[in-house]
Amino acid sequence: MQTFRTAVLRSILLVSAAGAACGGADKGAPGAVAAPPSRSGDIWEIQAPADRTAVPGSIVAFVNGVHVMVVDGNEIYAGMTTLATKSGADGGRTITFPSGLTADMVSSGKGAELRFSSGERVMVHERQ
Amino acid sequence: MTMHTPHSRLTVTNVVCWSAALLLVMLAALSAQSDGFDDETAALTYHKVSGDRLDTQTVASRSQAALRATSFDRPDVVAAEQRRLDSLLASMDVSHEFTLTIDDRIADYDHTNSQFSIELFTPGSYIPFRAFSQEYRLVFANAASARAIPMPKEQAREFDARLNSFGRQIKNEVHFKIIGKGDPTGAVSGGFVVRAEITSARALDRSGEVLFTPKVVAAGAGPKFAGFDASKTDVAGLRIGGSKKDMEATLTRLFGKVTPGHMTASAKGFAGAIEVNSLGCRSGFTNRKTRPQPGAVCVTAYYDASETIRLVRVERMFPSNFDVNVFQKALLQKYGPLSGGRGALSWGPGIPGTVFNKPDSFVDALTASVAYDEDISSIGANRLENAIASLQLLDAAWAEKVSK
Repeated sequence: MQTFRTAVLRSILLVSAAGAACGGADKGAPGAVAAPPSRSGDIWEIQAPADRTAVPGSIVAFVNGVHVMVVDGNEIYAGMTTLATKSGADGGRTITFPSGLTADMVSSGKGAELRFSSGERVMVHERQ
Repeated sequence: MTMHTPHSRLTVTNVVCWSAALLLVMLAALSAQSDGFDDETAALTYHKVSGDRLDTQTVASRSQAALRATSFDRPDVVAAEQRRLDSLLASMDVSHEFTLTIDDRIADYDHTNSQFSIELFTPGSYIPFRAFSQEYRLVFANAASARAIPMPKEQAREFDARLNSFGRQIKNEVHFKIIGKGDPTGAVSGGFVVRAEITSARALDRSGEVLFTPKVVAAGAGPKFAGFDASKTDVAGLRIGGSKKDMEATLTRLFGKVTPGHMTASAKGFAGAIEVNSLGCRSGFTNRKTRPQPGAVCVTAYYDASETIRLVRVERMFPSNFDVNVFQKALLQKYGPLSGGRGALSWGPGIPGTVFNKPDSFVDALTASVAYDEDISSIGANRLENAIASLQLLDAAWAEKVSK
């Protein structure tokens, strides 16, 4: 039986693999407008931060719309805004926001960690 | 009058005192730029430029003339005084240039950046003044361009010794115009934060000799985003200008059940609203026995007759250790320098608030705010309440058309 951590890692790796399968198509014009798919993809979200040290990261995630997001293969939807992604460090993905801010989404523990280029970090989990 | 800096309080003196006010009025007729600073003129100019309403009736009722009047005559005196104030407010010249000479200080040499700095122009500094029985805080939008006195180290040693000879105290002569509301850096808050633009400045020693003349850059002339376009941005990922159907699909996918929202009869141009958990981010509005918890998200989106989304407001509850500085930093990173001028955290363009049936006020395209989840049980309770961060985006171009 696979552990939750393995599932998360697999999910992120699948996202990376999907990008590679498309000829490394790191597409997605930052800030493009689109409603997220109604069924496909998974919803990832920051959780009610029991860890108070995660509050700064959750603030940055909220402002940039990734406090709740749809991850659909290589596409990430922050609300109605598509975000540019590309393969990142540690087998994860790097999200680029229209402002130039970036966030590495890296597998960590029972979920993934968003590491913003501005320094803040916050855990995100796939909604069950 | 005093100047407040993050580190000290310094005395401020007006260039022109009250006794010269009449002379100034005469000079103003001869010159487009009269020198000096008058509290009430500055306050009135601020209210006219910013659109921030001055309650002239209340001010009139507190005037000396009203206080001296008998109770029989007071209503007429107050009405006359209000008319005078309204007339004065309407006649304010928004291009008026003010001058202040401030007792200021030059800080120690910064060896890393090879410069001295003028304390008034550091973030968080402001000049308080009082008018109409209320306090105003004057901040300079382009203070950063006037702050530094760059100097090579060898030259700085001699300059530093000269500064020390008179205790580093200087006279800072500042010429400026009032351009709006709020501190662009967000460091100064309060009810009436007067945003001004330095047109020129000089640092003088006590004998009046010029020590330094900064090269002032006009507010907004520095690097900035190329205008704020509400139709090209988002709040927490949510957009205006799209269809109600797309918004509904997005909200359903992300947050669950979407319901029809409440519309106030006074709102103009809106045909309806949809919402998710819209009353679930504040204890005061819930019937639940348990209070809303951090992580709660509330969204309301308003659409027009064509079912195009024209306004969206999204709120999220955070724990009580919410860091306003991080919030502000993230907003500035995303949206660029504050450009609204009519709120502490807002981005322009400001338009008449006709869509909210408040034509006398102004609203900005994007506003951000933080409130705390206080209800009746908070009174006297020794606890920190959860924070509610709100972002609101209005289709300013549409609202402007509706206003006409």
